[in-house]
Amino acid sequence: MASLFVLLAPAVGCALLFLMKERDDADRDRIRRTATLSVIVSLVGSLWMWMGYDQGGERYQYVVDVDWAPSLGIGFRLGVDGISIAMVVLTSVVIWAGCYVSRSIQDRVKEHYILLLALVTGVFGVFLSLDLFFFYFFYEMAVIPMYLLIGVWGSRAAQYSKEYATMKLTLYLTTGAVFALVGLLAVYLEGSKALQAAGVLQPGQRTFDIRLLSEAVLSGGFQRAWFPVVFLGFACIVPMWPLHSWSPIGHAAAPSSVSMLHAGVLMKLGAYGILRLGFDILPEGTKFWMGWVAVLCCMNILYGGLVAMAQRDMKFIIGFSSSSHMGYVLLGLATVGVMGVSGAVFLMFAHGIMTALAFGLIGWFYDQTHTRVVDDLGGMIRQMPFVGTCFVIMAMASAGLPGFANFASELLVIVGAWDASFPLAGTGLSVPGWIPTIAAIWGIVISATYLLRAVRDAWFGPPNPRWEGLRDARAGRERLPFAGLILVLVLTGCFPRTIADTIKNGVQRLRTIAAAGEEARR
Amino acid sequence: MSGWNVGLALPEWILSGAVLLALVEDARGRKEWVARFAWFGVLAATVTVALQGLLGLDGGKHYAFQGHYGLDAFSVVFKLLFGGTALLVLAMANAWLQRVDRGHGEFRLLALMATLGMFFACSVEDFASLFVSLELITVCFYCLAAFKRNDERSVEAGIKYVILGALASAFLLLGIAFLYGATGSLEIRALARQADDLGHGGASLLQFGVLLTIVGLAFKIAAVPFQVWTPDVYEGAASPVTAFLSMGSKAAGFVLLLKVVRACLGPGADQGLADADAVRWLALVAFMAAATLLYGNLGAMWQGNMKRLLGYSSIGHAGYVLMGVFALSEAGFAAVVYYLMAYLFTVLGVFAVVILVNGAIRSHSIDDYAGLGRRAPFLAFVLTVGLLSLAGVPPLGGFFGKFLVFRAVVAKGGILAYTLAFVGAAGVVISLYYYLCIVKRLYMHEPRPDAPATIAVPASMKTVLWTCLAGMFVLGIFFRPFIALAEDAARALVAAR
Repeated sequence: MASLFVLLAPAVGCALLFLMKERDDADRDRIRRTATLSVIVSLVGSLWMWMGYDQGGERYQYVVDVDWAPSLGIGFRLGVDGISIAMVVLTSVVIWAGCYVSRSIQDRVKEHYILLLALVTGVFGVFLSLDLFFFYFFYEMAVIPMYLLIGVWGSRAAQYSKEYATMKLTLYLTTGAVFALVGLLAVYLEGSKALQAAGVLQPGQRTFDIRLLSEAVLSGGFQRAWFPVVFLGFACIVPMWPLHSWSPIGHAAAPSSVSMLHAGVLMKLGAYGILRLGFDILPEGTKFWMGWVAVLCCMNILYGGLVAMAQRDMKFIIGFSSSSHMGYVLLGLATVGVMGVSGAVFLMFAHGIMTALAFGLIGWFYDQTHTRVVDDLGGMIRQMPFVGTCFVIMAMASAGLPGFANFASELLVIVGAWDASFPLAGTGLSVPGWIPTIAAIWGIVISATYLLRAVRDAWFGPPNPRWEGLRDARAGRERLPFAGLILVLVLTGCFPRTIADTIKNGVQRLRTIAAAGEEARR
Repeated sequence: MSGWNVGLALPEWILSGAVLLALVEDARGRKEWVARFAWFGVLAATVTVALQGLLGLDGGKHYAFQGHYGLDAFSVVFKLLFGGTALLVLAMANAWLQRVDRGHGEFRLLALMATLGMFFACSVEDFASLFVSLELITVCFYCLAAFKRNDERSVEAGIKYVILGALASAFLLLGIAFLYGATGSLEIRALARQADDLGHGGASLLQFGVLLTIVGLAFKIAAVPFQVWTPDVYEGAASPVTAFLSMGSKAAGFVLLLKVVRACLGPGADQGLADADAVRWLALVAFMAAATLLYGNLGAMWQGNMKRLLGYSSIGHAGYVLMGVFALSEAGFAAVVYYLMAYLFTVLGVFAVVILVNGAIRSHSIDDYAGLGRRAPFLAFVLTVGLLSLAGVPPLGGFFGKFLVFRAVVAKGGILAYTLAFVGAAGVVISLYYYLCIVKRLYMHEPRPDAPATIAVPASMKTVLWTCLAGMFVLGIFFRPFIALAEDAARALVAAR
């Protein structure tokens, strides 16, 4: 039931906001409070689930299972395993911080929060769904509010108008989704057929239940043919090079809270989809194709990092660094081993928190300076010691300094990749593990370069007289989201086992990983 | 099958009675009575159909008029659909007719007669009544399209529709003649008995007849390459007429198409519907579907006029529905039914907003919708939801319709089906683009300085808007009873005869 609680809290908040009126500032405050409260309920619920998750118990816990359209095999099925619980916690932490950061929005407050809560309902839905239909349903549901959020409350991103940015983002995400849908339907039909043959389902009966489908034995040919369709659909969202170009522009044009949610959580939906559909349902296809992913993700890491170095707009720097970091996630997945994949999921969590922090902080000074170009800034640390310090902490975390979750997770990915080898399907060649590993380590150097440069140029150096009157985050309410996010980063960085154990537990039970483990034991 | 059983056609009797009474009252100049007869006639007929479906059907098929009239779950579901459409259109017309100074009676009368034609279309069992019911619908729409007789474009739309419609009717008649020659019978069932010949290239007369019949029906549903009339007629005709045309006339075309296609598949469901060999020539439906949805969606991208855009987008939607027909399976037919159910609420909701906005700003230009989100938040909201439902975004009905269509096509399997599914997926993305371009104007652009600050919504329109809104959400979230209805209809269509 706790999972239902987490999902419905923002939905109910959204419905309540529809009924509220926005006439004066008191109304606006009431709207903000209602939204924040509904999100805090989700946060409490997800932390409750995380604390109560029994690692020795069933794989999926807090299960809700309601028949929705039995003739099609659709059920409203919710539940979490070790992977999704981490993602749910991440989502609730980020949206909690995002709600506080959104206080700077003054125009059409009600609509803003309605869309924000609709978006986050969709995201929670994806992570909580144990039903392929609702998985897709919630995913598509999350994309559209994004369009309006960026288009109405966003800002110009370098030479691109916000309307261009938001349209590009929406179309890319939808293209990925509908192509994944075709693959998803093929998996549903073929999986149901296999389950019928195995006697799990009655003849003629079909199911979207992920738990059942992940037990279906699918032919190797089917898996190899359909894995690329599903994978490319989700790779648009990850975003994998060369399908990434929507993402930095989208980040840059979005208002802060949406950038936070977008970079922090929405991008993780792609990798999560690959884990659910690829690793759980198409194990052979995953093993067959993942070698190529290791090659492409090196492009993510290096190309994303190098482009980030050339950027002058702060949000573009973080935007490209996000696609560079998602390269590490893909590398971790490509290892198809416990350590690499656990590292990838842990990095999804860590990167989500870190990047949300980054966009929140950028939003804080952008609201006052109305420029994000690093050359125009300078010496801001004098005016904003708190925000500046947080920014430096964020940069250190992002660059992979020990003590932060990012370090721990990247280390897992790199060690995992070193041990692995990546067969390139169709060529008979195999890439030894050390090649992508070196790319990944080089990527860390690149990211340290651009982050330190951004810190130096924007926050230190000669103060720019234009920024005399900048206001720091002083009130507790203003500092809370930043402090909260840093706390999470440090806690999970210094005590990684708090969350890494649950993640590892979930990863070990992924079908592909479990099968590989059994093989190794034999 | 041989009895007369005239009571079975009670809904049609009611509608016919309403038509006659309304005709008399119209001649006597009592316009308000025409409105009452039209409204209550459709309401009574729809309720009767619902009662027939609930009480009198027993899951089987019943015949009247010596087998020329059939009633099963399929016809009941579609009659409900048409009844609902007519009720919503009449309610919409109430608000719209207040801006028109003449012809109130005729408008309602013609709409009523078209509804009668649609009801008959659901129950036809032979090609003669198929043709007559289709003509009853189409002739009414000829007049309705040219309803604004002082408006050049409306008259142009009417003439264009008459000429091309007559051409389509000629094709249809020719096709029916060929079929009669091949089977020696006007019954649609007779086609089923000869279905084996269809597959094995034996009876070319039969094949040609089916082809021409499908061409005639393709005009009605505006499938490529018989779609050229659509944008002009949609733009020229009065908005409530366009709404009725895009839902009623199109769905009627699909009802008849489904009946003919079903008959081509052979006598019994037990032989397996998706027997691809027997109906290999129906691959042309796949090309028609792909071409239709690409043409409609690509064409809509460049439109600056709201009604023209909706015209093109309705071509696109015909493409998706054809995808469901292409699947040639129970799941595919159920998808068609569900798609049309969702389309009813979606497209009528959108047109209701178009009528209201046009009433206030006297323009159909999409640019004049700028800033509607500030001027009329409720209308903008309904329009946004409607457009997103057209695009197929959850949690709205349009999404679930598309989902079912894709499911049916992927289930069919084979390279043709997968290609069609991917083309359909591309179509979804394209359509999302132009629908979002409208949404962008609603919320991201500032209104023109001379635009009215608010737009009044009369009570009848408010009912229509809320009904459509509720319909879209219910069909998108709580779809269980409706999918059961659609599956019943598809099962009845497929069932052995």
